[in-house]
Amino acid sequence: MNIKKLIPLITIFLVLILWECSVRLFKIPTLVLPSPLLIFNSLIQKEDLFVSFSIPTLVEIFYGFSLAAFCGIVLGISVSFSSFAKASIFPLLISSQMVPKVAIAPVLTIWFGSGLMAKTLIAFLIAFFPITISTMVGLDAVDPEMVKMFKAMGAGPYTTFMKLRLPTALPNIFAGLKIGMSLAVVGAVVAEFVAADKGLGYYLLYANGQLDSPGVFASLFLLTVIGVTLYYAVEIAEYYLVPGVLHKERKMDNFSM
Amino acid sequence: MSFKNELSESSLNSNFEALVELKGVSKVFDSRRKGADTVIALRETTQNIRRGEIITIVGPSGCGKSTMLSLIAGLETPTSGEVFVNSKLIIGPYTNSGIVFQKDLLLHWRNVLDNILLQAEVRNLDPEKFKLRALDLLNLVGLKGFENFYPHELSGGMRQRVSICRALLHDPELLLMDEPFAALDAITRDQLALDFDKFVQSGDRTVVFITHNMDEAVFLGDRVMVMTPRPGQIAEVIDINLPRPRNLSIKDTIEFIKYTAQVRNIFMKHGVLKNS
Repeated sequence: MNIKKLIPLITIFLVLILWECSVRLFKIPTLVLPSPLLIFNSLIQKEDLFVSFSIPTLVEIFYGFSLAAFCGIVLGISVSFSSFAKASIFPLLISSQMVPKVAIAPVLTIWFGSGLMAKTLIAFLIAFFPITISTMVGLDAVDPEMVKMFKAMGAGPYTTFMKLRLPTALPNIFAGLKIGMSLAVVGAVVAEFVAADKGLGYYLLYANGQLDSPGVFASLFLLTVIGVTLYYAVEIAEYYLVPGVLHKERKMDNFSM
Repeated sequence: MSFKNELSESSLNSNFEALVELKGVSKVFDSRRKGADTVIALRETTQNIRRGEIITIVGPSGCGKSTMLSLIAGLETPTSGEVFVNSKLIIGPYTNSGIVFQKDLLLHWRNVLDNILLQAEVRNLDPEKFKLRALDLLNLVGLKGFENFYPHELSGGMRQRVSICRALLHDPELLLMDEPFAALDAITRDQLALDFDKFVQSGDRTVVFITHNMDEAVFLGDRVMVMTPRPGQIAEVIDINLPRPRNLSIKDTIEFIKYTAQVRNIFMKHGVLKNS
């Protein structure tokens, strides 16, 4: 079992070795593809800079994602409660998604300046759609017979929502949150590309301009680490918040024995 | 012997008090298909269900038996006529009843005990107060010690037993069962039918039990309501004068065979069953 958990780490390590060897063997120029050791070196050398530039990016992702999670879930719930809301909001929602959000980034920068607000909004805009949709889908996925049973017990809409529809929808909502989280990272980086004086996205563009490939790859590496960590943070929250996940794990363990 | 006595006792039912009264009740659904006519699910029906009896409703699919159950539970409003339970007109869901469906409808994220206590929670009753009763019911249906199991850890028969416990938690006077054993294998179904009297505390509780199985209808019912489709209506109501509690050997008696033949003949007469 422990060995199973180590397999991904071993794989990554082997890929890095292969990478390092190929770069040396085929004499690939550093500008095209820096070796892992060089990237690592760049990380160590500019440690202070990377730490201070990671923080604003993290903050943007956090605000953008939180706002997206809140608005997406609230909107998804209200749409599922009222067919009027569904009919009026849904077409608007879909067409808003057809506007390329990356292209709106400069506009938002004009409106809200180059501060945190514009970046949060861009991360929010990119992240919130999948959260809304999966909330709606999850709430609609309830077995109509279950609803009938709750009705027969005398449950009102609120009780049915709290005891049946929300718990049923939670796995779907969390699927949306995971997608939203990875999109929030994209949003923050895009926002920093457009206008910023700090942040990993900003540094990535800057290093690129300086032809500092190890710096570019170091930023990419950090962004990946941030993305993966946040993704797993959502997954851990899911593990503890979604009813039924815990005992299913227990069952899986039983079977693997 | 005592067989005869019980026979005469249960045939005294002509002046029993009615718990459920259907008065000229019909249900018509609008067809979803364009141009097609409306569908008559249940033709005007007047029928009483007596307090404390177990009435089984048997018929093929589309004969309106589930519709009748929904009308009694107040989950559907009749197109014409009125439904009374305890002499009260049913306008919304009638909640002093317990319902068991074909699917067990257990919430997979709750364990057995919490699934049963859902009945109390939804009714805003203190679940703590019902915990003992829930455990008693589990004991009654033969699932003692299973309270912390999750639905996916149980067999189909066990899950349906849990769902019966949930329906009985608040001790409803009326138990409505919509083909509760239909999704189970034949042996499990026989076992549940054998335990049936114990589960529902027959005699005290009024039970409406829907099935498409003629054997099951005769075996479980004090009366069998035979229904035919197109449009759904009651063809006949048969008194079953067999002693309770019933065991499987009753299926070998002449009386039992005669009753099932009687049901079958009604279906033959109405063209539900045809010799080829």
